[in-house]
This record gives sequence, structure tokens and C-alpha cells, in this order.
Amino acid sequence: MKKLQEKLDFLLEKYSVDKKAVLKDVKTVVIDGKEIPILSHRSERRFVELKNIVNNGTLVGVSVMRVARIVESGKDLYEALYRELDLCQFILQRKIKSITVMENGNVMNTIATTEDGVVCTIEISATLAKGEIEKDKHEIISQRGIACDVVVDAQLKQDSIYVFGSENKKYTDVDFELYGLSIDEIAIVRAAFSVAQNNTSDEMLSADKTLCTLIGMAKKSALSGEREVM
Amino acid sequence: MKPLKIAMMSMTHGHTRKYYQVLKENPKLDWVAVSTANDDVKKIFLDSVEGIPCYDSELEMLDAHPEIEAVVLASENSDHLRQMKLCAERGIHILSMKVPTFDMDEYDEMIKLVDENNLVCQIELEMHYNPVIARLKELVKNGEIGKIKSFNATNITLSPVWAFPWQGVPEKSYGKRVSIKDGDSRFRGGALCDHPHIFDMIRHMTGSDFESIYAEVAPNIRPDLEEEDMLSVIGRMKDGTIFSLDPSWSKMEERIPVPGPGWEVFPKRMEVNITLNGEKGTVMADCFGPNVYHNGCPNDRYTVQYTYFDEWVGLIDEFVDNIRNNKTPLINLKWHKKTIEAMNAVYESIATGKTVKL
Repeated sequence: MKKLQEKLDFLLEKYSVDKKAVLKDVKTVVIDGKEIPILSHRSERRFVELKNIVNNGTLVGVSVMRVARIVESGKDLYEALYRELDLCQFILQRKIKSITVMENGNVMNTIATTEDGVVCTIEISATLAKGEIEKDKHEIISQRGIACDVVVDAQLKQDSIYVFGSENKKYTDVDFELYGLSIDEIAIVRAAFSVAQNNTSDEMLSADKTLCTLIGMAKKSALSGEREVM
Repeated sequence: MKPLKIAMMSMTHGHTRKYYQVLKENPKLDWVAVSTANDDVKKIFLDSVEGIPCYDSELEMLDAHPEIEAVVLASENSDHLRQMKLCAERGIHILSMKVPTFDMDEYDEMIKLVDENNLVCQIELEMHYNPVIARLKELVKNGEIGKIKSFNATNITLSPVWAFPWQGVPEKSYGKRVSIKDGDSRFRGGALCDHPHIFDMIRHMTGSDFESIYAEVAPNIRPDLEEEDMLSVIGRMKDGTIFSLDPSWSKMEERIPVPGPGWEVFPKRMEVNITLNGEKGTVMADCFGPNVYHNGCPNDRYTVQYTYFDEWVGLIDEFVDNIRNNKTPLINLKWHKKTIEAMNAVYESIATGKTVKL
């Protein structure tokens, strides 16, 4: 956390943001004594670009968003669902109104629908060995085009650099200003900085409240096996 | 072994052309004749295959060739029962397309016909003869990921309705015109009816049957179709395994009358990907890869060119073996009935907005 705070302080100073912003943990920044959820996934560049593609006229007539995510064994499925529900709403710029969940121990499948009928499917599993990089895929299908963060005819994302030597290594660097941080770490710093710079505390708090409501509906649906409607 | 004297009927099904090569090259077969349902498919057949007698009517073909032992019913779903009766009356074995019928009374009549006439009726679910599926089955059997906890699969393609128009007609695809749900102008008979494979495969992989199904239909990406083209399905098997199935027509196509180069708008025309999550890990499988890629003629678009597509070789080998050695097909009418019931449950869930218990 110290490394991330240093990078956050660097950005605050460089861009003259006159606010005291302190990372409490990877999900929360404290600004002027108030704890704000940062929803750091929103700051991943791939999701920003998917949001742009969906909403700037590149895709026309959105029908479905498909999400699959595999996380480490033992991780909280509802925490993963919270992130993916937010990404669906963020990328589509739509509100989810209904949710149906099937859960089975370390796996969960969800169908959610937006107010205008777009269908979101979210497949989550917690099966990876400790330390294994999370696998995910986000795909939006429309009348005119498909947008996705995984290349066509591939199951996994690529890395930027592969090293084949005495020890095989791979690297993916996506932010020159924050060079040296992982994608997840970059997103945390960028998200905290964005809240401080753009005064989006109220927006973040409101989004978190809605997501908590959706997670409550999801848990209820997982028990009943029936759809829950907002 | 004496070659099996085989014929084909109708030639209107999208899989028709898959049989051309295997029926000509498999030494266990003697391809006797075909009958075509209309002039369009007759021309396509005559342009594609030489040396096989082609008849305008099924009866004419059957009367001219009493030696026919088996028929591939390469026809629209609404013709299957009638053609099965023609075959059963003559003691001819049947290779049915992937959906015999969605009408469960018709389905029971088919089972009775086959049983009473001691026929082999094999359902064409070719994924069982795919090498990736063979490896997946082996991994599951060996306990690589422990007990399966979830089965998530896509069976997504472009829409075939422009080349095979019957698939866009609810009465021919689903068997009758049934509204998909109240207040919706679409009818049953679209993408779901084209994609039974993953509903079948989960039963094989888990050794269990469907317990509950929930489904949503999404806005069509082809608004001018009167059937559904995008839908999502989740649910639970009786052994607790949960699933997520995507049987959509989610890959956009050029509206050409005969499949061929340039059919794709999206670079990849078809995908069957299966992710099995288990107690001890995950297996991710792409059943049709790796491939090669080009952006050449006719449209200069980046396109996935598949490198193998030979499921029909194993399928036909099994069919011949079943007939010659009096065996029951892996995918027979009785086994397949529960798959069709599950697909009907998808439509019921869409119509009611409820989870359907089977």
C-alpha cells in the first residue's frame, strides 16, 4: 500500500490536486476524512475503451454483454460479482433491474437484465491456484458489431512481452506514468486519483449503494433459484 | 463388411454438404441416391456432387431403389416425422438431424416407430466425434479437476436463415408458431433450435440430467428476423452442477444464399467453447482450434479459416457399426428426449420469466 500511496501522491502533486487523499485499502480512499469506494476496475484502460466503443456510436443496438471471470480458490464470489455487475453498468451505461443467480460452492452463474432489456451473463468461478493471474473476458454484442477484451479465436488475453530464457517470463505494462505497477495496482491509483481530481465521491458512494442492493438481490436469488427484480 | 447402401432426403438442412465427402469416401458406404425438396437445393447438389442419382420426390427415390438400407434425413424439422414414417414402413434405418421434433407427442410417435420396426435411429450430434471433446471427456473421467461444479459453454454461430430459409420459419423450425413471450413480436424457432449440442454435452460430461432452467431472450441483433437470435440460459443439474449456456446466433453474416467464402461479417463464423470448473481447478476448451487467418477474397475481411471439421467421419462410422452390429446409438431418440425437453424448458422460462423445474 505504501508504494501505491507514493504513486498517488506523485499524481496529486504533478496535477496540482489540492486534496488530501489517502488509500485506506485497495477498495477505499479517504478524502478529507471521508471513506469513498474507488471501484478501481473502472479505471482499467480496457474497460474505459469498451465503454467508449459501446457509447460513442461504434456499436449500434446493444443486445448482450457476456462476462466470464476465474479468480483464486477461496475468494468471495459475491465480491467478484460486485465488480462485474458494476462493469456491466459502467460499460453499458445502463442500470440493471433484474438478476437471477445459480450458485454451487466455488462457482456462480448469473443472468441480469438492464432497464431496456439488454441481457448480461456473468460466469464466475474461484478455482485458480494461489498466485495464478485471474482470467476474464468481457464481450458486448450488438446489431452492428462486437467489442471484446480478448482477441478473436483466443481463450485468454495476451501479454505485451514474453521472455524465453533460463526462466520464462511475461510482462504487461500499460501506464508509462505509473511504470512498474501491475494492471490492478495502476487501476487502484488511477481510481483514487480520479475521485480526488474530479470530485466524484458522491457518484462512487451512490454506485456502491446500488451495487450493494444488487448483491443483496443476488444472494436472495441464489437461495430461491428465482429472478429478483429491482 | 458389406457397404451400407445409403441415401439422403430433402437436402435442405444446413449440414447437408457435410455429408458429401464422407458419403463418397467412406468405404463402408455405398451412396445410392438423393431426393431433393426443391429446385434450389437440387441445383446446389448437382453443382457439388457428380454421379449420384437425384430424384425430385422421396417416394420416387425409394421406389427406384429398394436396396436402400439407411437414409440421412437432411431436412427441416417439420418434415422429420413424415420422413421417418416413410423409412419405417420400408425397414430403412435413419440418421436424423439434431432436432427430431420439439413436439413431444410427435417425439413419442418417433420412438414407437423405431422400436416397432427394430430400426437404428441415430441423432446427428457430431460434437461427440470431435477430438477436443474426446480429450475433455478423458480429462473429466480421469478426475483432472475433481467433481464438476459448473459447465459453461457457448454454441454460437452466424445465422443460417439466409442460406437455409426454413430455419427462419417458426412452423418449420419449431413445428408451430408460438409467441416467444407476451408483448414480444418474435416467435420460437430461432437460434435455440439450431444449437442442441451443449444441452446434450452437459448430460454426458456430468452424467446427470437437468433439474432447473432459467433463460432470458435479448433484443435481436437481426431485428428483421421473426425468431429469437440472442438468448442466455443458466440452471442446475440434478447432481448440483450449475451451468451457463449460450446458444445464440451472435456472429453476424453476409446474407448469401449458399454458404461459402465471404459468409462472415464477424471474423469467426462459429464457436463451441466449454469451460469446466471443478473442485480442483478449471479446464477451458475451444473445440474448433487452433486455426489459420486471412484477409483475402472475397471481402478482404480478417477471417478465421478452420483447420479441421471432420466430425462426420466418426459419426458415420458409428452409424454403420450400429446398423451392421445391431447396436444402440450413443445419441438415440430415447436419450435425446431429455435434451429436447430441456430446450423446450428454455422457451417456457423465457415465456414465463420463471425458473422451470424439470
